[in-house]
Amino acid sequence: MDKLTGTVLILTGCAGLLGCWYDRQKKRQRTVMAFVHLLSGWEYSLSCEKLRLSDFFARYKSPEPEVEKFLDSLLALVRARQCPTGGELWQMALSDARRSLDLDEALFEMLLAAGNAFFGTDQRENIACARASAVRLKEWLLRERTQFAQKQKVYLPVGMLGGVLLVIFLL
Amino acid sequence: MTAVSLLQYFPAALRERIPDRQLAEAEEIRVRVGQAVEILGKSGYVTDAVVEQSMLYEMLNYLTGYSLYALREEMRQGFFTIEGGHRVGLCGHVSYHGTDLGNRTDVLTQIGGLNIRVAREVKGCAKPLAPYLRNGEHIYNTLVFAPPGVGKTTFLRDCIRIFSAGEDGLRGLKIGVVDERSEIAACHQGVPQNDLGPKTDVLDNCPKEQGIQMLLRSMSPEVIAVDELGGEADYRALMQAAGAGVSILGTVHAGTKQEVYQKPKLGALLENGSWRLVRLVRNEEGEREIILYFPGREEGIWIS
Repeated sequence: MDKLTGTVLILTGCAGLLGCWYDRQKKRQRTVMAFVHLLSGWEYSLSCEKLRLSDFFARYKSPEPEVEKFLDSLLALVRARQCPTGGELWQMALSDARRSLDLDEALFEMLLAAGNAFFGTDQRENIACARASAVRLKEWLLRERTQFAQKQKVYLPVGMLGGVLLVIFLL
Repeated sequence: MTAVSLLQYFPAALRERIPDRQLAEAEEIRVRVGQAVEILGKSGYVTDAVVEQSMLYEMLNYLTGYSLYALREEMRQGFFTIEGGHRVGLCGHVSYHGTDLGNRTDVLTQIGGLNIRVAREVKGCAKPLAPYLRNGEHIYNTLVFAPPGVGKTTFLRDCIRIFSAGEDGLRGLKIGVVDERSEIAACHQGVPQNDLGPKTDVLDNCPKEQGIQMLLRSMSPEVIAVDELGGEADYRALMQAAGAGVSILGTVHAGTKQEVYQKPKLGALLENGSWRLVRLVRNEEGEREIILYFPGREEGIWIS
């Protein structure tokens, strides 16, 4: 009976670890997709409307709670009028949210550069930057999804096999 | 938004050097690169700190909500309006594009100075004049003129408020305002921040010519109010409105009555209809005086 319980616990633990990894990857992909949507919305706003940043951020709602929280903090900074330049403001908000958004170095740099789309002084340049940043993020997403599918194929059997081996060695 | 709250638009390094009291009395705030900040009001004030280029751009970021790109069109005209109806004028390097026949300002870059004209609501300032402008249940077509800085917009705003609310037992009039520069109503997200009375409809950020047509078609106003008439198109639209039985309340830049009549097209407009001209002047004590001109009398009468 003890061996059976131990086996179940070990296998559940392995499945749990795999589940965590899966959720984290999916969440990160959703976050990046939310930024792509944000940049697309901003590009539309720049092209067809003439909204100020604060009006856009106040109106825009992201389906991802962490991204929404990041946008709220950004809006608060815009209204506080404490950062001399928009670039500094974007960097400050992004650095604060880096952990909750789960951004690695490459993704952080990519999103940092995307800030020029919001805080440049020329509308056409902002549009071009928003478009280029969205494309870059989509490329990252495509790459990540391909790698994720490949990793999934390997991690799932290896993880469960590792669990079985642990059961054999430990019990 | 009070004048004191304008402090939030100053660069962080300068905020502590500007006393609230001076800001509360400010009529104009002038910021120039390489010079001290100058606050003009009842008593002038100059800060001890010199403005650097980076400070000016920091201030522009605060004034535009980090949205300089969104104000390019306004900046081509040399100014934009911020929350509260305060007007920010800009100076810098002007680039042109155009033909031999005429150049068009393309973009204003390398901004070297700005001037904030503080908007104020002075309720009651037009009250002494209001009975003279009444024409039974309606009002006469009225043009307020003065040089810049005397308070034409403030005066017009109070006229709108008085006639919209009704006074001395007379009913309020339906007033349509074309607020091209967002100075009269100081709309924020479509809602007027200044008191324009209960029966006033505002078209914000709309060119005067188009706005007058839109109001005539859609809002059936009894009075149309516009600020700073200038172009021939404005006068054409006004003529059409006056011909449709709508009274006009407007302002124009001019120092004397002769200057008003010398403006192309405006003279012809004034010849038709019973116009009242109101001249605002500042006396030696800095107080505003009102002179009313009406048909049949060459000289004006002093109202207050």
